[in-house]
Parts: sequence; C-alpha cells; structure tokens
Amino acid sequence: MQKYKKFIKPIVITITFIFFIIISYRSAKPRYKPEHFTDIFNDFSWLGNWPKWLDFPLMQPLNAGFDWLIVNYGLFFEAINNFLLGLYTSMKDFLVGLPWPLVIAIVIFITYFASGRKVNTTIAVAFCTFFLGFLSPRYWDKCIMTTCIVLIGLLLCIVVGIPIGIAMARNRTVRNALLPILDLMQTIPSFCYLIPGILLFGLGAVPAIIAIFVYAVPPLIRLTDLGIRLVDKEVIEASEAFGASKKQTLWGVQIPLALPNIMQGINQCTMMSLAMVVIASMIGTRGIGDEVLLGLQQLNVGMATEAGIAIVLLAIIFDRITQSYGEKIQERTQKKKVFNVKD
Amino acid sequence: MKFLKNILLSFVFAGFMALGTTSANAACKVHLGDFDWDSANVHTAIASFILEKGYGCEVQVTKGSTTPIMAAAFDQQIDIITEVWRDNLVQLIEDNLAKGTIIELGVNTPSSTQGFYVDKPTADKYNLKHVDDMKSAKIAKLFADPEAPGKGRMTSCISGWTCYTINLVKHKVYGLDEFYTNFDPGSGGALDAAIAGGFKKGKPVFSYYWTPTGLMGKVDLVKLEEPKYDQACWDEMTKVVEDIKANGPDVYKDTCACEYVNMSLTKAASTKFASDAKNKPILDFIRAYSIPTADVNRSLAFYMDESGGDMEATAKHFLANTGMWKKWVPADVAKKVVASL
Amino acid sequence: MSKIEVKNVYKIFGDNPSKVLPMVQDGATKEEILEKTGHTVGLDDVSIKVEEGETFVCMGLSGSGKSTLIRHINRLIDPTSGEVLVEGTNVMELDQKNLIEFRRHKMSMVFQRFGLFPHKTVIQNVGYGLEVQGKDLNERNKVAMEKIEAVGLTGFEHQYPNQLSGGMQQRVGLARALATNTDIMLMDEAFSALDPIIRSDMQKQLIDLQAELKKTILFISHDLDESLRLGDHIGILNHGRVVQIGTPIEIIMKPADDYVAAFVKDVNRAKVIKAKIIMITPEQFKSRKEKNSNTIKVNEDSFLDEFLPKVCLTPATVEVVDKSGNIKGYITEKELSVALTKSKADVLTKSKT
Repeated sequence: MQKYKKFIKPIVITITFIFFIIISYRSAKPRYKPEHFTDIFNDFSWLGNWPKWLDFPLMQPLNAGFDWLIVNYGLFFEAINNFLLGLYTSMKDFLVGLPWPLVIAIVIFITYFASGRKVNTTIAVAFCTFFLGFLSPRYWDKCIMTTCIVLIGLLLCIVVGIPIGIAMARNRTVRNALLPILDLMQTIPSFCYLIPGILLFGLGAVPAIIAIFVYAVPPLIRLTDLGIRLVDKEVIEASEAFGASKKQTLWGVQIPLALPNIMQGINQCTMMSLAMVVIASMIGTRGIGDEVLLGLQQLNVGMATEAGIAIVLLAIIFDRITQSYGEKIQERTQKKKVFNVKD
Repeated sequence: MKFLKNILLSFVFAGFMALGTTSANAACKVHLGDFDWDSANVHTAIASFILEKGYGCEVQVTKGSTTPIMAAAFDQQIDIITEVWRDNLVQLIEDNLAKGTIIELGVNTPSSTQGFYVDKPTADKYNLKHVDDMKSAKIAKLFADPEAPGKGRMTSCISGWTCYTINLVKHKVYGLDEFYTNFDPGSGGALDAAIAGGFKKGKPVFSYYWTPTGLMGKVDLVKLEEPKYDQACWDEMTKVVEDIKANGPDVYKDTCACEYVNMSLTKAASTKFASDAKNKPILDFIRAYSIPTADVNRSLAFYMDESGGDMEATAKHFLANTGMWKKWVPADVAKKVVASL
Repeated sequence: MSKIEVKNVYKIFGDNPSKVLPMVQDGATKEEILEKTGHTVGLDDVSIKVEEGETFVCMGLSGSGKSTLIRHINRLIDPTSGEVLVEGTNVMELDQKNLIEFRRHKMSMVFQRFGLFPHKTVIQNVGYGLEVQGKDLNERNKVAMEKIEAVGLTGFEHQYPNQLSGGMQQRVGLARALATNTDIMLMDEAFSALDPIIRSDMQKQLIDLQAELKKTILFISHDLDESLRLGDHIGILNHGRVVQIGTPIEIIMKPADDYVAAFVKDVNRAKVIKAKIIMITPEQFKSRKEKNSNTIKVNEDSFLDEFLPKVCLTPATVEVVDKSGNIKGYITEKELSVALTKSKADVLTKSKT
C-alpha cells in the first residue's frame, strides 16, 4: 500500500480534470454541441478553433453566487461599510479641520520620535509635507483624504495580517493552505475585486479600503511569516529551556526579534496601499488619485504630473517614517561590534 | 556548409521583408477613435469588422475618454469617430468645423436620451416627477452621500465626459447643488456597478444615465423632467460649460439650463483622412452607417447577457442577424463580410 | 538514585522512526539505516547515570549524538524509545504544564552560541529565567546583579549582547543559568565557540563555581583536554553509541577500543594526572628506603605538569600534602616515569604496591 501513495495525487488530479470537461460539455448550449457526443470522434472541425463546448462554466456560477451573497448578507456588508466609513470620516474631518501648520507639526513630531531622533530624516519629511500644500492648495485636503484611507487600510492589514503571518509561521498546514491564496491576491487584476467592492459597499472610500487590504496584505503576511521563522533557533531553544510557555516565547522572543522583518512588511504594505489608492480613484474614491485621473481624462498633462509629484511626496513621507522606525528597531539586534571593550 | 546557411538565411530574411512590405501595402489603413462607454464600443466593433473583413483594411483602434479622443481627432491623429454626442459638445464641434479640422459624416443613431433618473420604486413612493421634486432635505436624505453628510448624492458622469460639466452647471442652475453632490464615479464600469448595486440591494438610486445602453433595459429607472429644451438656452449653457472645462469651476456664471434634448448621435472624420482620395469608399461606408436606437439597445443587451463581455462576438451577432448593414456597402464587400462570419 | 538517569534511549530522525526502531535494536549500523530507510540514527541504546554534585562530560566528534542527548534531559527532543529520569521522575510522562514547571525549577542550560536574547540587556537576559516564572522586576534585578557580579561582569548590566565580546556573552549565558538556582545545569559545548585563552579562563571559572555550588552538571564537549579538566566522569559517544564511561584516568589509561585510544593518544598526561592519583602511601615509601635528600611539597590536587619542572631541575622526592599540610603520600621518579610513558602500564595498580 505504501508505494501506491505516490500515485494518489496524479489520479485525483486526472479525475478532477475529466470531471471539469464533462461539466463544461453538459452545460454548453445545444447549438454549440454536435448532434451526438460520438460525432466528436468523426468530425474533427473542433480541433480548429477552440470549441465552444470546452468552456468551463465559471462566469454564471460566480455571478449567481455573488448575487446570493448580496441578497442574503446585505446587512453584514452594510455593517462593515458603516464601520469603516465612520472611521474614515471621523479621521478625515478631524485632520482637515486642524490648521495646516499644526498638521505639519504633528508629522514632524511623529517622524522625530519614530526615527529615533534623526534630524535629517525629520527635515526631509517636513519639507515633503509642506510641499504637498505648496504644489497646489487643493492638494492639502485631498492628500489628507488619501492618507486617511491608506492609514485605515494599513490598520486593517496589520490587525488581520500579522496574526495570520504568525499562524503561518507556527503551523505547516496553515502555511500550505494560505500560500496559494496569497499568490492569488497579489496577481488578480485589481478591477476584479474593485467592481464587486462597489456592488457590495457602494462607491467611495470603503471599497478602496477593502481593495487596499486585498492588494497590500500579502507582503505583510509573507514577511511576518518569514521574520518569525528566521528567528535564531538557538534563541528559541534558550527560551524553551528556561521554561517559557508557547505564549511567552511568542510574545517575549519571537515577535520582538521578527520586528525588523515585520516593519519591512509594513513598509511594503504602505507603499502598495498608496499605489492602490490611485487605482481606486477610478471607482470614485476622492483623494489625490482622482487629481491624476482628472488630468488624464481632460488631457491636462500639467495637472496629471503635478498630482503625480504630490503622490511621490506622500510616498516618500510614508516610506521614510516606516523605514526609519524599522531601522531603529534593527539597530538593537544587529551584530554591531564595539571595540576597546575589555574582557 | 556555411554558404548554404547564408543562402537559407537570406531567403528567410527576404521572406520577412516581403511580408512586411505587403502589409505596408495594405489596401487601406484606418485609425478609429473609441470611447469608454458601450454604445461607442459596439459601433467601433461593427465598423472595424466590416473594414477588416470586407475592405481588407488594417484597422487601429484607440480608446479613451471624450476629451482626449476628440482632441486627437482635431489634431488629425485619429481618422474616424463613429459616435459623437454632438449636442453635448456643440460649441467645440462648431469651433473645429470652422477651423477645418474635422468634417461631419451625418447621423448614426437618430435618437438618444440623457437625463437624471431615479429608481421606479422610490419615484413612485415619493411622487418624484420633476427635478424640482428632488429639492428637499427629506428627499436628499434618501440618497444620502456618506462622504458629504447632510447632502444626497447624484451619481454623475466621469470627469472626462462633457456631461460631467453639463451636470455641474445644471445642478447650480436648478438649485440642486444645495442638496446633492455631483459625484464622479471614476470610471464607466464603476457608474454601472453603482446603479446595479443599488438595485440589487434595494436601495434608492439617483443617477445620470443615458440610452442607448445595455443597462437601461435591465433596470427600472424613471426619468425626471427638466425645463423644456430651448436651442438658445442650450447654446448659452454649453458656452459656460466649455469655459469651465478650459478654466476650472471658478469661472461659472449664471446661465440658462434645460433638459438634454433627444439628440442624434453623429459621426466625424478628420479632414486629413477625408481629403485623401483613396479613402472615399470608406467615407461612403461610414456616411451610410446608421443604426436605430432600438437595434443598438438590442445589441447592447446581447453584449451584457450573452456574449460574456465579448464585443467582437456582439458585432458578429449584429451582422449575422440583421440585413440593414448590407445597404451601407457594395455587394462584394458584403459577401466577404458574410463569408467571415 | 542518580540525579539524572538515561535508560536505553534511542532517537531516530525521519518520517517514520517507530518503524525503523526494530532494525536499530537488532544492531544495524548508522550507515545501513541511512542507506535502507533514509532515516538518521541520533542515539543508539544510550544509557548514562549522573550522580548529584558531579560534572559529567559527554564527549565525541560531530554527529556522535551528544547534542541530541543533552536535549533529551529537558525534553527539547523526545526520544523514540527509552526513559529519561530526572530525580526519579520520567520526563516523558510530564504533561505540558508540569514540563514547564520542571524546566523552570529543576534545570538550566548554557548554549554553544550563547543563545542570548539580542533585544534584551544583560541584566534582562540574566533575569529571564525568573521573568518566565513570573517574579517581579525588583526581585529579578537583585538576583541578576548577584550573578552578574559572580561572573565578573559588573558594570555591563545595561549593555546589549551585540556590544560584548564572545567570552563576555558566554559569561552572561552562565550567569543566566545560575540565576534560577537550579540543581542541574546542562551545558551544550558552552566553551567551544570561545578562543583558547578565554576558554581556559571560563573553564577555571566553572571549576571555581562548581567547588562552591556543587551543582550537577552535564557538559557536552568535543575537546578531550577540556573534558579531562572538567569532568568527574566522562562518557564517550561514537555514532550515537556509548563507547566508554569512566573517570578521566580510566579513559586515558584504559581506553575501551581503538576509537577511544585514538582520542587519547595525543593527550598530555602531565596536564591531566593529579598528584594524588600516582602517589604511593607513606608506608610504601618507607619500605623503599629511598634517599630523600631534597623534598618538594605538593598539593594532592595539583597536576603533574605543575611540579614536574621543579622535580627535574633539582632531583627531588615529592611529598604530597593536603590543604592542611598533612602528608598524604610520596612520588618518586619511578612513579613519574611510569605515569608519563604512553604504554598501557597500569599506574593505578602500581601505586598500590
């Protein structure tokens, strides 16, 4: 019996494949099929153009399933929509309402302490923030809107993504199950989940936040998983040898040591969120992205470029803050030799 | 051996050259301009098919929003546009006709509608018949805009379409801007999805929409009445519209506004293409090209429901199932087209 | 009852160890198992006993199974078969909660590459065992500072491990193991990653600490000199099997097989043999009637190489005394020459004549 084990996988795959072909044949419309099934072996015209009866019926079931989802779980999506929208609106209104020098001051404050009191980084970030409004006054509010969406999307990614990454690092089955899903999330074209997002949540900020989650969470999950798995095995052994429970090892040793990688993941997540927000302007999400779209659609090259520069500045701000925080944490765990230490 | 190899390579090279030159010497080359809504797409698909299979032309299609495509045509970069919403762009068209950048090739679809629509259940319940009926806080609340608290939302055109600016002006003139936002949905697909989504969830829908489209046949929308169409009023309004398009919303000044007239959709060609004598057969074809609204609607319904999103299949379906197109082309072209179906 | 007892432990690495076990028990070698089943035999019927208060050194080359063995004691690795008893308790029978308690209170571990937490300061590292037990901060710091002083790292308590040299890091590791005040210390090649001078210092420090604390230490090493210096008993492993267990002298003088003989071939006996091992009793000395013109007093625990040069310079007889100065025995040239030759002479039996 043992040696037949390796045949199980190919057999299952073959059976499933034949099953697919049978389904596609049976669900094809009559005008696409020959009179009798056996005609296929007589008349080989179906070898020319791809035959219509070899069409896997995915579209109809997907649409039907989706409709069923909307009808039966409408309230659930409504609740998510209201929650996320409420979060977004309150954050946006608060920041837009603040006088702009105060907002710049807050950004300076955050950068200074996140980077570990690095003056150069803080000055660079302060300049970029100032330039957002300087490029064009109406960009200020729009950049705040975009920032709010990115931050909420980021929050969602962190809250959901890091625990999943940890689960993947600890459990091989979970890991094997999730890896193909992550691949799917990263390669599927964005409109494939943007449009359903509109059907479920309506136009605006919420489908953008969901789209950010789908697009930007995979790198965070992967890097969290990697970070935890890369923690020195001997250090984990030390933790266990001294009687730490699994939870103590996770929180006291694994997560702190995986933090550089996790921060890298958050940085990646942020950059991809920003990219997605621009795409999301095509589903009515207000922000700096729709300035670019406006420029494109009205053939106003100057406007599109100016808005593009604003996006680059935003990206620099986010990148510098998250990177410098990551570097600060990493200094702790780097192999840095200090000379002149007497033994 | 080396000699033989050289001979062989020379033949291959010559063969490629020959292929290249023959394609460069194609009977005709046409560059079509296509827009990002479905009725324009279906006309471009049908015209491309006939031009390729019937006339043996090399067809290139460039797709985009109203502003860039029209600009490209005025700039002689695009040869033919099969569906022009003339009355929305009347000032622009008149200017360019005067400058001699384009010529018009007659009417394509004789009638079309545009307007502000409300879903039937809500319209019936609250007796909404005229745009003025919308001007109340209670009604606006039904269509609440989650990102503009206190206001309702009218899902409008995307900013690349002229109707976006027209609706902006209309909102101001009718006094709707106090109660509603003129919301840009970002893309044509998003607009359709927003309306379809609203219906699926049973929520009130207030949106700009138009025919001929595929969606109109599938959802129950009621058109709101606006002030009756008046030519002078419309012309004055479009002047302001063009001004805003060029210089931003701050140059708005009070003007007149009235309903979208039942306008015919026309066709246009760049003067460079039109002045070339060898393009005459194509121009004659495009001049003859005309599809009634009902048939356009039918094709678009096919596109949405049965073709699985395949515009070429929709074009072929139209050509296979109607005979009207045979009158647009000489008999031999028609035969070639039928043969390739 | 021994403090630690390992009884007939087998450890096989692979997909299906229990199926391969009978083959190993029948006597198949490591190579045979690897070829036939793709499994690696880590430990092959290993049994050792470690008494309370002694230092037991497990010695062997890489792949001999010694690191695997030590990890069975605190159950970082589970055996495929066999028992591991600590103070009479079978470690395998402990459930998760009791195992954690066991690890916290009964034993501590020092690692070859130090195993320090890079994100914690020295004092936090040393106090880790207590932190895991839930002790509060003040108590942890108090105990930690004591141990830091004990290993001579006062002043470095707020540094991070990556700011310290290798030797200092291992002293932190040692302090951390001492902080929990456990009876048993497991040391996995603790000094192998240090350079020779530091290594020698650390060995001395361990011996001093051990003299005071009398812990039960299971020490892994691949270095013979280190094993002879530190161990009260030495167990030699080869390919997962125990080849010989004995005192340092037994290992040197009576190697069990060619493998052990090869190990001890080049050992410098003068560094390993203590005076008290080869001395003859005063009665035996008197019966020899030697002319003891010059005598040198030597502590019973001192190694031969400590007093040998003096003996050679001025031909003298050695008086072996204990700490208080009482004469315990004598060593003459005869004893010295017998002890230092590399023949299989039985020095132990000789000294009793």
